[in-house]
Amino acid sequence: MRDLLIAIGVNLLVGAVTALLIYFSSQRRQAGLADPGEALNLFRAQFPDSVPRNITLTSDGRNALIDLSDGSAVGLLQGYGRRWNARVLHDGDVASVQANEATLRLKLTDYGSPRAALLLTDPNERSQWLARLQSLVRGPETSPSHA
Amino acid sequence: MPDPTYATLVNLAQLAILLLIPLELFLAATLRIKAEYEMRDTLATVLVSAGSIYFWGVLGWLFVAGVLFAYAHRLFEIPATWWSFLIVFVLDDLRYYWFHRISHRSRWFWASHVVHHSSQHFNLSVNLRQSWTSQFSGLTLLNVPLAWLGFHPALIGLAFSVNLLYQFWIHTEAIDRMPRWFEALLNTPSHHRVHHANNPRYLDANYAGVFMIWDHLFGSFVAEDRAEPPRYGLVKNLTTFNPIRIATHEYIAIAKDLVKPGLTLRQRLAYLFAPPGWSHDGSRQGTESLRAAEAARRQRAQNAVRSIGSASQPMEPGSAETLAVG
Repeated sequence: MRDLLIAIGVNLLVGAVTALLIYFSSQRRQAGLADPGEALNLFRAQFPDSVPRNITLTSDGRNALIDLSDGSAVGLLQGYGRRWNARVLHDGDVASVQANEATLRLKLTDYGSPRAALLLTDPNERSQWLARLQSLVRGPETSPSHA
Repeated sequence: MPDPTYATLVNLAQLAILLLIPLELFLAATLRIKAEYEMRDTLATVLVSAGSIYFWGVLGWLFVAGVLFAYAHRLFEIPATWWSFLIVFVLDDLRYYWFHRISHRSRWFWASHVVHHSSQHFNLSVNLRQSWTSQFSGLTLLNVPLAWLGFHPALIGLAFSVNLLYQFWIHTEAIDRMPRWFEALLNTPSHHRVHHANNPRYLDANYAGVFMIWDHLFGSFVAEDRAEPPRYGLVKNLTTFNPIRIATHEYIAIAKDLVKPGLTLRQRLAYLFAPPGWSHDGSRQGTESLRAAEAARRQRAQNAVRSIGSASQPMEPGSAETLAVG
């Protein structure tokens, strides 16, 4: 047990040193979307056969919501640290969505990607996307909102 | 079993190797070598690693017990010498190849191994992002035949350790290519970048631990193409840095599939053991279908280029405007 604790301790120590180096190096920045074109390219890198109709960047440039041509599904491009993850949300993929001031907070049913926070300062965009995302919530789990 | 000198040497080797992680990061910050680290990703890796060490410490006896049991019933007496070590090292590398290949091609084993591929970065720290469940996934049984043949458990343990230690340095973008003879014989950062990539053409390739001969022999070798840089991570990436979710997410996904109503027993078993991406209704994509879709896209693009090219062949004076529009 002593050896095990030493091994874990050494591991955590190296992790702490690495974290300090990352903190003091230039590798801290997060990715941000410059324009819808960039969001489209990132989304299509993962879903090359998708046909987006309309793209909304969140106000912080960390996410994009994509209206897909098939009508039912919503594309979501999420900033994940310095990387981007694209996904297509179908009916039942959203567990709940709440409007918290200017932010739409999504709980997703995917255990590996459990949530998203979408800052939308334009009230029209926010209410439109709230309705659209709520339509993806299955059954009675829809949360009350106050957009 | 290994004596204290052996244990000390292994611990020192591990410490030296761990120190290469801050060194890589330091060189990236000062000399601008290619190495991208991210705070939360690295912290998640370290916590996953701590869990992995813990479970190895608690459940590692399963590996040891299996090997000792088989050795107690060994077929031959093989002396522990330098030549028997070389033989067991090569055979253990073959064992590693199949362990690794099965870990990618059957979902139950992938649920354990997926942890190692869950980072979207590729740097030395990624090597620490190891499974919590490798001891009870069942693949430790692959270690048994060598002991049953008669190789001493200490030799098997040493070969296992050297194999894992070798694989540390290949988790880097800082090294582009090794000399040609080296790339042909041994696993390298270039080959392993392919292995960690989620580009369809790179999926399920380059399973080797040390010797690339196994991938050439069993048809799983894919060379890194400079025209297509690897994108690291999973086909369906995670959006969480929570180490518990990282370590367990595929098991949860399997459980959700297993309890779906209306499936036959065969379909449930397929959700458990078929390759990742299998689904009873064909709604998901596995490696083969992703590659086929990618190949079809390439073909369409090539056809489009050809049609433009053939349109431009009989180009007459004054037809440049039409081509530009096309």
